[in-house]
Amino acid sequence: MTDVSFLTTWVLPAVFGVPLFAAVATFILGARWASRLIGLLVPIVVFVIAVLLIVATADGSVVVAQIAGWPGGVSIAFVGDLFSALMLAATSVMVFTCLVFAYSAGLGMDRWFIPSVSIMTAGVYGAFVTGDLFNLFVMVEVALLPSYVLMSRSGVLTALRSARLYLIVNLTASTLFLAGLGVVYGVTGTVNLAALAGLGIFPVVGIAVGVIMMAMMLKAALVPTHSWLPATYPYTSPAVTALFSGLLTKIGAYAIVRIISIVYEPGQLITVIVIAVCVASMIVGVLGALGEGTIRGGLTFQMVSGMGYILVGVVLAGAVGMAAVVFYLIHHMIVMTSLFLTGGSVEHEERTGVVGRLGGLAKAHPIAAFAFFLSAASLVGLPPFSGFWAKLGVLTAAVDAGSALVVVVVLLVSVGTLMSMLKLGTGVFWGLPKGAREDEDTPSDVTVVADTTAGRAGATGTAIDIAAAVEAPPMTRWRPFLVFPGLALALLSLGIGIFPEWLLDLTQTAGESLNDTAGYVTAVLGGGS
Amino acid sequence: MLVASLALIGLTTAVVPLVVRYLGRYTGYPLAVIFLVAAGLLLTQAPEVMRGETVVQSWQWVAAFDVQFTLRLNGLSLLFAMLVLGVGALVLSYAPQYLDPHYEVRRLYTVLTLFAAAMLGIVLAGDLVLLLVFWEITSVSSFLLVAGAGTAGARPAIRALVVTGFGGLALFGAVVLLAVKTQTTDIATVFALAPERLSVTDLSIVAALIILAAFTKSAQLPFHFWLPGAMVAVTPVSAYLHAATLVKAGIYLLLLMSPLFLDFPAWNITLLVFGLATALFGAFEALRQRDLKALLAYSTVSQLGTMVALVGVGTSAALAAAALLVVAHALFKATLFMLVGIVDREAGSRDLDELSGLWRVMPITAGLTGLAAMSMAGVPPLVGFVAKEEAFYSFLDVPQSSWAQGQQWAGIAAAVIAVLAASLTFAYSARIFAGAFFGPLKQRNLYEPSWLFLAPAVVPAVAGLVLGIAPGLLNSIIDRTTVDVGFTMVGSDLSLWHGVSIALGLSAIAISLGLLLHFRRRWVIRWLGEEPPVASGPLIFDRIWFALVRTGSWVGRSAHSASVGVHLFGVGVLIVALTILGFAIIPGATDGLAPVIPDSMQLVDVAILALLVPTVAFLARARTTITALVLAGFVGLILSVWLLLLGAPDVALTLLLVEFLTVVVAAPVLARLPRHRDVGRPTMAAVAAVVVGVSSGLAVWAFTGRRGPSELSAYFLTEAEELTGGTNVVNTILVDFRGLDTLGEITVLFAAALGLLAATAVGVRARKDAVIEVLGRGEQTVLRVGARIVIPLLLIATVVLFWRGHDEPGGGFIAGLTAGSAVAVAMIAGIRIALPSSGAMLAAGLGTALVSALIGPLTGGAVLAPVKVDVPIVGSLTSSLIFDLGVLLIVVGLVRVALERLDGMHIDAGNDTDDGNDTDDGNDLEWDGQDRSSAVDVTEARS
Repeated sequence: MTDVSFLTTWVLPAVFGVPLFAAVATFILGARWASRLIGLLVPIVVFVIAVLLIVATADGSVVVAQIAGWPGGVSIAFVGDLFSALMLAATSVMVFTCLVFAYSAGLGMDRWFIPSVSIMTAGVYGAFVTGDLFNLFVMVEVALLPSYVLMSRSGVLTALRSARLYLIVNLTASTLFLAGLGVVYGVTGTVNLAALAGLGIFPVVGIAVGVIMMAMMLKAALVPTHSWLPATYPYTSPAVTALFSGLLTKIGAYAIVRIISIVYEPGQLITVIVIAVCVASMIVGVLGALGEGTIRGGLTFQMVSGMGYILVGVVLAGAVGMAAVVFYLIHHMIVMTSLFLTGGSVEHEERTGVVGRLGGLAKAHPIAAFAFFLSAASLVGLPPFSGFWAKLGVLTAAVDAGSALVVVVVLLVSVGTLMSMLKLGTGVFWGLPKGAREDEDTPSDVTVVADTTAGRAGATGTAIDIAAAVEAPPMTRWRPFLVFPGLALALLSLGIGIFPEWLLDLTQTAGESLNDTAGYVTAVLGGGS
Repeated sequence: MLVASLALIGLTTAVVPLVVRYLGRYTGYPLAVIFLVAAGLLLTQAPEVMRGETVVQSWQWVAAFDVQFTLRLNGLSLLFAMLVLGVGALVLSYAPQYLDPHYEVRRLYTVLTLFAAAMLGIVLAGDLVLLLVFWEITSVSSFLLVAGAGTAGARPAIRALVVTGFGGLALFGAVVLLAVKTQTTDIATVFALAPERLSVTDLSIVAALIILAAFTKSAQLPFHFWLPGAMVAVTPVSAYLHAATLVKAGIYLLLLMSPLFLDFPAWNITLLVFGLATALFGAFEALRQRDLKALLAYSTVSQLGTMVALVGVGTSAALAAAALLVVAHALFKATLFMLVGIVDREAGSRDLDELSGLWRVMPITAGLTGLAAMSMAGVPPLVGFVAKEEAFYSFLDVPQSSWAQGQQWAGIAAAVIAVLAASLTFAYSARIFAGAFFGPLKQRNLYEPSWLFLAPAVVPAVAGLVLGIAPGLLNSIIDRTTVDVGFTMVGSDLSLWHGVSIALGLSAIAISLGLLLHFRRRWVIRWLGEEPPVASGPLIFDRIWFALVRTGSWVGRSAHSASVGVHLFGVGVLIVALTILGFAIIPGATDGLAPVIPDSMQLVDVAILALLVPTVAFLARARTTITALVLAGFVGLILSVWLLLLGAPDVALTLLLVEFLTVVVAAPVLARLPRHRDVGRPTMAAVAAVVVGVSSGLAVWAFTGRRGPSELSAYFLTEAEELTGGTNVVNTILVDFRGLDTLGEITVLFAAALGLLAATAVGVRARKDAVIEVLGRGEQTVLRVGARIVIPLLLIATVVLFWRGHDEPGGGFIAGLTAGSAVAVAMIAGIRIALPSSGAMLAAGLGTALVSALIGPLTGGAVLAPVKVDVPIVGSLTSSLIFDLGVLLIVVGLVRVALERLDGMHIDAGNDTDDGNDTDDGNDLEWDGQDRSSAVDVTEARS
């Protein structure tokens, strides 16, 4: 086992520090190969850190770095437990693959891109390890501000419009978060997460923390605060959408899991609320995905649906449910990022993401078609992919908890997911190439519906014009690294599906320590470093 | 051997694409051999199985869910495994002759082999999860094979996958329920534990889910429609998947799960009713078809219905009959499909109205078709007859079953339907043969296909005859199967001739009626109508599909709105919900509040509010942007006064400076925006404002002002000076205690500056003379004079505020803002100050802060921990001062970027003297000589 003092002194703080150093360096260097290299090195370093942390915490122990060295409860603590370590590992892999894709798509030539991504990831990594709610707010802001930059950088008017929406929604979330912090501090006199452990049984604290939970719901795009996600994510460049999908909403998910597990005790009210929100998200998300007419539009709705799957386990069957949450979260990050990257590679090549204008691309993009097929199967929950074990985990927890509603919805929504992914996959990769469609007499063809959906959206006065937006990505010549990142993640999902044991073991341990937070609390408050 | 057999097929899948490269469509032959080898491997274990043993091989797979990779071989699985591998070998040796030389065979052979592996996996799986895994793989491979038919295959493939995928998820549910209740996924153990661990409700749910899974897979009403649609796939696929094996997976599942439901009448009744209905429906539909493949598809639906009904009867004899019918059906249906494929290839059509008289040119094909059709029709001496007889016996025996409790009518009703279905079966079987081979010969130049093409069809056709004459050959395996499905050994006595019995009489009736139906087919069709009476399955499926898509568009319509209100509506709902929850729903939530601390509201607060509220109201109604800006600044002013009165001079000062700078930065921007504000929909805004305002007010009332200083405040107030050496608590919190937050916040500022640089990098032209435009030259001169006095004062203030920050109000933030104000004044007055580029300042600032964070760990402490050093003359210094310097630099950098970029004006970087063509193209960050360190820049600027 790694020396703990080394971990706490250097390694744990480095998840925030290293990306920031990289941001400064790449900011100075500008758009050069050295910047791009540094950009790629950061996620590698963070991945190594994450592995060190996983090794150190695989037995359920908790590594704490009291930043600035004050006693526990006074210092802001960076807390590395297995859940955080797994999140760091998964996130760094997503960042790395997205960067490879982004470079290939030409974004590496933008001198603001790599510094922005570095700062954003610093905030994300920081959010995964901080043990202090105010610091979490700061980390969220650190992640957000560069995301505004990235969002608005694609240079198309529609992108700016959706960036404006994105900005306002996230500012609202931040305001709510800050207000929540105010009332939590007002009630308890602390914003240290460990010091709030179990206080949710007092209704006053429960409601006060509930304000923060609302902010996190908005960030995680859970129903009823979901609509901004599909209204903004599809309208930036594909690389940025993929990056955001793997990172930003996941901060919300992470925070919800962490806060519920520490602050609230299992109880009827919280169970009802979480199940209601999650079930609604699953259903609304999958229906929305079915109704969408663009690749990324459909996929962002799948994110909404997936968020329900991820979080429902929080209130189901204790440690079993928590383990399912962690596993599903990691699985979903991998698969959604893969789908966005694969879909993005097609958009780059074909200059549109409107399903009705695509078709028959399996011949032109066989690797993309293959990767899309694998990831879609995984998303649906088919074996032998990671999604199968993820859904098995959720279902097991739901049956264990006796929640028939969740079981039924999980299964039926999976059928909907299958339908929407079929609609998307066949619309893009099968059938006839665009242009040939008109003379083909197939009135019941799925893609026709996609056409009308897109058309309807375009016709509405205030609507954002999908077609214009998704045609934004610049035409690039075929680059293998445009399609390999998505494929790599799809194969990762397959690999986890065939050999799920190691990850399930880790998530089980993580789930146990999320269920019983005594270790976390003692580690943070018990002793400084 | 079990795993060897499965692995052989599985691994073959991986090499098929390679082999296809060399052998093309002839890859089928080596594959057929491999299938036979795999079958041989399994047969080496057959003696043990026949002795009554169950061969089990097991490995740990996923301990987290207690899932084992268990394979087991008993009679039931051996029977099905032989069908999978045997029919597979036949179809694979048929495919090379059937396939077009240009057909895309790589995918076909790869997916067919994958399917065979998965199908073998289903019947060998000894673990529920493993079974489920293989089950889903068969659905997906079926999808891929049907979709291989091109555009025409897309819709049918989608329908097939959604229907079977739906069933797969039902099975998923059943598996999870069984696994959670019995705490194992091992099939044998589940069966042993289920009776005591599962309540009746659990068992009913499991039964329903398994029936759903089996009905979708085995094409039972009302899920049958995907199977005829799947006929767009090439004939080898139809013969193998959609006749002999895949669709039998449902039957296998029902047989496998039968032991769970031995005393569960609902199971029996459901299966019997739906099975018989499907048998009858499928037979009628088959009679209506003209396309031979469609006819065979409906015939398969019908036969599967009979099998389901037999499983439903639930007696040992019925289950044995079901197993026998599985074998018989696989033999004659695979044969018929292969022969139809031959006819299709040779005569170019599968339409019964176009084919005629082919026996004259293709006598062998005709003979084989006759043999298989007779078996299907239940004519002696073929195995189909034996199976049908057994089925009649079983239906007649319904009243003897444990669940029917002697209800005689049930047996009679079942038998009548079965006889009717059998007579229809006879009729369409006869039609296949007579329609294609009798009558006048239309195509004279046709010939018998090569023996290679025919041979794969000969084997099962002849096998059907042999097993029909000597059905006793199957006694032992059928016996063994009935044991596996929950019965004690009864001793089957299959034979062609049972003497004169009721069943024989029923057979005779069925055949006679069948002959009549065949010759009077037109009457039947006229009675049925040319089209199906109810809307057909695919149509209903598509209607549901499009209804869901429309619902989805409706649900997702808000995603296409650009209105902020639409997207924040949900937040409002949540705020109201949380408020109601807190004040009305949770019992005693408000009772538990501590009392409000007396005198926390003073007269001055009231006075401030009296000023604040109308200002905000005016702000909300302000018509012009400039008014709004001024009023917003005024609000900030009031707030900073309030903060000052509350005893927070640092915060007040910061806010004041920020307000000043905001106005300075925003004013020129506003000059470019429309003068008048778009207030939007004021009513909605008012409602939202009231709702949020009331909620926030309640929150403030409930959550604040009800406790004294927290432990942390007390700690900071008493300990801070001693621990940090600073007497300004606010500043020590910012840089010493919570330096991490500050580091985060300056990173945010850094990113904001970066965003401004990025956003305005393109397209904004410099407007150097903007101030002159606004003010005129005269005023500018006056300004300049004033500015030359104010700027040095501000700079001195900056140094003082920075230096004393640790002890008195001040610090990096405030100092930075003060310096920023100096820059702003300079800019307004049009005075040029030589400074390093704002980019350099930003980089230097964040770099300094980050490096200072490392001083702690380098000296053996923690990250960001302040380190005290005693310096002569100056006294004690701490490293947090360096950190604060970083803060200062970033704040100044951001202010400058904001001023320069948003104004479109430009304070020249250090040694930039060329005013002439200074267009603001965003590259000024790349200051001259990029390799100079930022520190050098800073020194140069100072000098």
